[in-house]
Amino acid sequence: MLDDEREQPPGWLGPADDPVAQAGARLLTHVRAGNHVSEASERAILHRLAQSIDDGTDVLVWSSTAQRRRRDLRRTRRVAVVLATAAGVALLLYRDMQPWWNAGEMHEIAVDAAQYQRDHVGVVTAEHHPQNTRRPGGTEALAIPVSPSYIERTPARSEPHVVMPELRKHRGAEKSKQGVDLSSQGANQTVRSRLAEETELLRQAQAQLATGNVSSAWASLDRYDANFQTGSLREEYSALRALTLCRLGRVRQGQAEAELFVAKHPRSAFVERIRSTCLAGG
Amino acid sequence: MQRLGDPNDRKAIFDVAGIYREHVGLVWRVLRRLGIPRDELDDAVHDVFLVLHRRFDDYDGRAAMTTWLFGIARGIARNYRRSDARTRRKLAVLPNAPSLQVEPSAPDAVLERERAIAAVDEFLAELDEDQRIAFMLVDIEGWSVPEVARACGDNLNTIYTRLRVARARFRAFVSERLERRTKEVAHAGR
Repeated sequence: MLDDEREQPPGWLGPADDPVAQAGARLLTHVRAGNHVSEASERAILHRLAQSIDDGTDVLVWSSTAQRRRRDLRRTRRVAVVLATAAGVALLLYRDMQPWWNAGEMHEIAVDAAQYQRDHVGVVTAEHHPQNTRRPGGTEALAIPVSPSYIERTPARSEPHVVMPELRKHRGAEKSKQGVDLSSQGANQTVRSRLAEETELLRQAQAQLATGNVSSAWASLDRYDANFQTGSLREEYSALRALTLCRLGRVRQGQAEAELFVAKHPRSAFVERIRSTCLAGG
Repeated sequence: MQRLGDPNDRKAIFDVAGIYREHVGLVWRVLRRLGIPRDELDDAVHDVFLVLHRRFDDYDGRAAMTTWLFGIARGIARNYRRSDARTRRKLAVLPNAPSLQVEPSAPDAVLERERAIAAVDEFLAELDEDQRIAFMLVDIEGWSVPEVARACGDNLNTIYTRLRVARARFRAFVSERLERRTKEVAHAGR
């Protein structure tokens, strides 16, 4: 028990007879006398301390487990943020670098695309083509050329289909927007020029047939047959040939070829026209 | 995992145990006054002496052991306060937990001491850490100002300035408390 009456306040608190100084001195005396660790706590802490040191757990055990977990969590979070940032930066750099970095790969893709186009040509879904109807005056109109919207890609078939040069141009333009010009590729250029020639010959024959110049159309078809024995437009050639024969007056031969055509290409866009022109009597 | 046969470890334990017995009171009080709640004090004291054990080889004897221990205790208290602040933020959504209270049946002297300790704790809590340390070490623990300056690594005049401010605030605190109690007594006497 403290004897408050004998407690002398320190000078900084005020004169000894000042009640505030005396009260302050009493408070400080109580605090100095009390506020000690209990013997039980002292023993318990020492026991834990000895155990921690003995066990070699030279870390802040028990009380600090939660702190350590939080520290680990913070560290993990920091690592995750750093990794995510690095990944983001790498992605941005990769995207920026791609045009020149990937130039070689793009070249390979272009060559592959040319090969694909050669093997898997765009075809006319002629059943739905608006031009695939009989024109006034009985003139046959083959669906050459057509717009790309009527083109779909299908796997290569045994029969060749109408190849659309316009489509090639369109696709080439798309590619050129990306900085790659398909026309610069030798393989593709060969395919394109060959198809262009085939198309041109057949278009010429078709135009001549439409204007009644049947013999010229026949000559054009002969030229096609001579130059493109394994051409991509053999189906169209066969159709035009049958039609031309019928217009030339070689009806029996024309009908024979027409029947052969229908048998060979029953789903062709030209079947209906051939039937109406050559096989109408049969 | 017992390594009782290792003489170095046994020696370390005895060294730490000796220092512990001599200074546990100081460490406990410093931690208490630096704001460690009572229910975490034992853990904090344990941590201080574990750090001491871990860094025992760093101690070159130039500074007093009390100064060195104070430095460790200050760091531990800072860590605890930081984690405690987070815990309190989480617990803020819960109803208030019952605080530690003095037994009403305790003797008057004990009651008065507990109240005094609570009052000084309240005062210390109002100070910033630097002023609190200066006041606590000089006016409660009885350290000299140069010792405090060495322990804190601060300029002597800085400690004096902090001490002067803390003392003035203590006097104001006591004055206000005395005035309030006088009013309470007068009110109760009516």
